[in-house]
Parts: sequence; C-alpha cells; structure tokens
Amino acid sequence: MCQITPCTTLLLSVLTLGLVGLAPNALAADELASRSCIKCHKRNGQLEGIHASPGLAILCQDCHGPKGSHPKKGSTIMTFGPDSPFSAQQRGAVCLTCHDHQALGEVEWTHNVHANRLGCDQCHRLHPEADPMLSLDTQQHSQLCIGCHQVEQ
Amino acid sequence: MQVSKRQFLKGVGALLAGVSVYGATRTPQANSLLQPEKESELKYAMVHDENACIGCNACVQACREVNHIPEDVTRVKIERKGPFGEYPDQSYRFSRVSCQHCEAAPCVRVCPTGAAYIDKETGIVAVNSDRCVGCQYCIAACPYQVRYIHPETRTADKCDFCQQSRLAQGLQPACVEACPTKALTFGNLKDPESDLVKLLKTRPSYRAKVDLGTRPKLFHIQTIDGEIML
Repeated sequence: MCQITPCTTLLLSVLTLGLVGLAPNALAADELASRSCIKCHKRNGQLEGIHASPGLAILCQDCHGPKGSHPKKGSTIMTFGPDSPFSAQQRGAVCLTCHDHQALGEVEWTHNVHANRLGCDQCHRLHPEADPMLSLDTQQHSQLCIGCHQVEQ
Repeated sequence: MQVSKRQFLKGVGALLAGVSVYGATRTPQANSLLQPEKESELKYAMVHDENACIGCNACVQACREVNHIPEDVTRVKIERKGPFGEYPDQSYRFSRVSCQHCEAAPCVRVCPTGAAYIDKETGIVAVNSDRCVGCQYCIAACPYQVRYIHPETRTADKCDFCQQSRLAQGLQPACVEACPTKALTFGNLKDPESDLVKLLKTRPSYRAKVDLGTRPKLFHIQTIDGEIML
C-alpha cells in the first residue's frame, strides 16, 4: 500500500503545476508575440516552407529578433533581402545558429566560397512553400553562377 | 572490234566496283595519306586559365547542347579540388579534363580501323564514326581518359574542338563561347598574333603528363594563390 504523506502531496502539486500550468503559459507568450506579427504582416509574414514544419516550431522572433520598437523609429528588428540594412555576415549568422557550415559545404560546395561574400538570403527563400535553390537543375545552377560572374566579352 | 554482251557487262561491273571503292576510301584520313605532306598553317590548341575558372560547368552544358551529348557521358569535365583554407575564407581549384589533341596521340596509334585520326589541316584529333567499330582500344590507350563510347552511335567519341558543329561555321568552340569568366582561350599555335600564343607567352602554363611523350595541346595556367600541391 502506498502512503500519501503531506510531503508527497506538496511534491505532486508542484509537479502538476509545472507540467500543466507553467509550460504552456511560457510557450503561449512566445506564440502570442508571433501571432501579433501576423496581424500586420498578413501578406509577407506567412511561413510556408520547410521551416514552417510543426516539429521545428520556428517563431518570427527566432530569426527576426524581438519586436523592440518596431515599426517605430530606432527599431533593431532583423530584416533580410536586398533592402536589409544588415551586412551579409550578420544575416548569414542568423541562419548559422541552426545550420552547420560544414554540413552545408558538403551538400553544396558553393556555400564555402561565398561564406564571407554573400548572405544566405541572396539565393535562398524561407517563407515561400519551395526554396528555388532546392529545385535547380544543372543548367539553372550554371546560369546562377553566370548571373554574377559574367565578365565583359 | 566485236564486244560480246558478256564482255560488256563484265567491263561495266568492274568499272562500277572501282568507282564505289574509290568513293568509299575518299575519307579525310585516306585523303591525307594520298596527298603529299604539306605543313598546314593551322594548329589549334586551347588554354584553360585555372585562376579565372569558377567551376560553374557552363562549358560542360554548352558542349552537351551543341554536340548532342547524352546525360551520362561528357566530352569535357571540370575537376574540382578543395576546399583549401579555413572557413569562411575557402577556395577551390578547377582543372579542365578533355581531349588534349596530342601531337603523338596514342589513341590514333592503336586504332585498328583508322577511325581515330589527326586532321592534317588543323591538328585536331578526331574520330571518323563511320569507320569506328567500337573496339575501345583507344579508350584503353588514352592516358588522359577522355574517350567514351557514345551510347547512341556505339562508337568512340570525345572533344574535337567542335570541328563539325562550330569551327566549320567560323565560330569558336561552344565551351569557349559559354565561359562567363573567359577562362578558356582557343586559337592557332602557329599565329604569333593570336590571343592564344600571346597568352602562352606571357603566363606560365603546364600540360598534363608531358613525360609520356604525347605532346598535348591543352594548356593549363596554374592557380596562383594558396599552397603548392604535390
């Protein structure tokens, strides 16, 4: 027979509180913040590609940083793409918090030679359903190189 | 003089046979054997500047398209070595692998049917696919391993500097035209004014496996940066 002492009751209640009460609340706070982004960014905020898979549970602020004063002046929010005020290295560093540069280099050697020259966002797209870089055939791959490396004939 | 019907038919038959044999042997190789030796003013060669090459494979794609090369074989390859250096400052080295158009071509020497030949006019090592029986002696003999059996024609095939597809129309080889960084230079070794000769005279270059005595005509300009590889 198991005996229920006041001590175990206290322990159980603390555990229950921790599992049922606290954890979802902590998650909800992040999620709520992410949802508030979508209120304005209905068109450009939807994450549909592989980064949207539920297992990853990626939120807006994971890549774009905390809201801060955004959209008012003095915002330090992280932006990507050609209009970003951040350097290629700064933008790339965000991706490299999860991605391993060595693994990337093994899959596609061109990652290595552009590591300190280009940001990931100059070729890759995260938000759309399909990243254009993942469906390149050999010819399109070559054309992509030529797009930047063409010297005057 | 009386000519019987039998004699007449025999004569016509012999004449037809003679004409057809003569026609069949009027191939480029047979021609070069019959004509007296005359030094041609043309000797085509190519330079691959490994400093300019970015390994984009545009040359491979262009060759495939122009010469109708199926997916599983290729006339030209860009071999990639690396990465060298520490991340994020890394580099690779590229080297072109294709027919070297040897002056003393082992493939030509071993070909039992005369299908592999050196074009006397241009110095191009070419294949007469009508004569090739696909015995693969040339594939075994080539020290550069650039020959293959074309899956459609079942005959030996390799780079011919686009002899039929582009040179005949006065154009540069497809790979040279496709290169975005102008890493490839094609021209006449005998013309001191050609870009090719000027380039070879101003930049140090090397050729692969010269110690075999093949006298190849594909020149490489070695990568300058980084360590010396042994």
